[in-house]
Amino acid sequence: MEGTVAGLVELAVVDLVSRARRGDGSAFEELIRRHERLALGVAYGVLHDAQLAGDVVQEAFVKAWRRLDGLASAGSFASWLCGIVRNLCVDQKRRKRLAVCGIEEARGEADGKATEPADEIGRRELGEQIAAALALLDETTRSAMVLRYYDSLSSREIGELLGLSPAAVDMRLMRGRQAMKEKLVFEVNGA
Amino acid sequence: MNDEQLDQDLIDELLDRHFRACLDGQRGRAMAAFRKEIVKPRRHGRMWLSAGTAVAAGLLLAFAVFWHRPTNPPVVIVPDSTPEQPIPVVQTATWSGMIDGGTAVVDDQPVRQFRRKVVEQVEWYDAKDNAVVRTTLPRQQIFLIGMQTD
Repeated sequence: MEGTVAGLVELAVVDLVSRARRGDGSAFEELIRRHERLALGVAYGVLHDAQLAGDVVQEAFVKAWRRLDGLASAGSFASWLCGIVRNLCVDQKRRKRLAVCGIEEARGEADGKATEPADEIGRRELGEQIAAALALLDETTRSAMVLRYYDSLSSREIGELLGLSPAAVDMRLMRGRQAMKEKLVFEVNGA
Repeated sequence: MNDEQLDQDLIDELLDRHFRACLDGQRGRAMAAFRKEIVKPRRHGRMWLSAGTAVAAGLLLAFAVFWHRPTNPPVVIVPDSTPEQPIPVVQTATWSGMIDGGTAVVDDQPVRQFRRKVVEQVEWYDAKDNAVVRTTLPRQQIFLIGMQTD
């Protein structure tokens, strides 16, 4: 671990967790900043609903803060947090029927380039197609895809979080991309 | 770069955009929830203080009410062996707190009026009919306290 960027990041997380355990709110805020994308990715992978994912992540961090003393090893904060997120997702799934990522969320607001109505309609449709294609993937593969594309995690990091080997993660990512390609590329190219 | 690589790049780009579009709007909510959470203990403290104050006020009020409105313990009278007339067996009286009725003039003398309502309940035992009759008598007591007019 020593001498690598990942090692230094991990050491920093251990320090932040230790400080947070002593009641340092600013340290926990830094943990939120560093792990929010990860938590959202995990939640979205399971729920496939951005709003619900946001609800769950919000609750998960509050729970994590309250239960920080229950974390066995400060270095495993990320996987511990993901466990909380996943459990809350299971509860959420029980509570509410899931909906796919909505049109408003999928219409590509992030790039802000859609100025023409026709462009916007096209983006909406594309967002819907992507959401529909993602919905066909199994939960683990979808989670791996979100963590890779949204949080830029390595296969090793994704594997640690999802309980898979890096090779298994690569395999799932490859299959996921292939499935997306089959669903999307023809329509995109044909558009 | 072949078509397959182009397709793959396109997929990567689409997924990257899609996830950002879906999830970036949710960022910041956890931080806001956490900040709300860490100020909670103080709020709880205030809440408990408020609750404590409310409870104390309630106790004071209850004490005041019962202080001013005691329910007399029933007076039980054991009837004689062969009573001719109904006799009271239980008597209770409840009264309200004093109400300041302001000043008045009685016989050219300024007085302060205080009123209270009294409800007397009496249970009578009628040996002849072997029945218990309850009577309720509400009445008002007025106390006049003379005021000095120096």
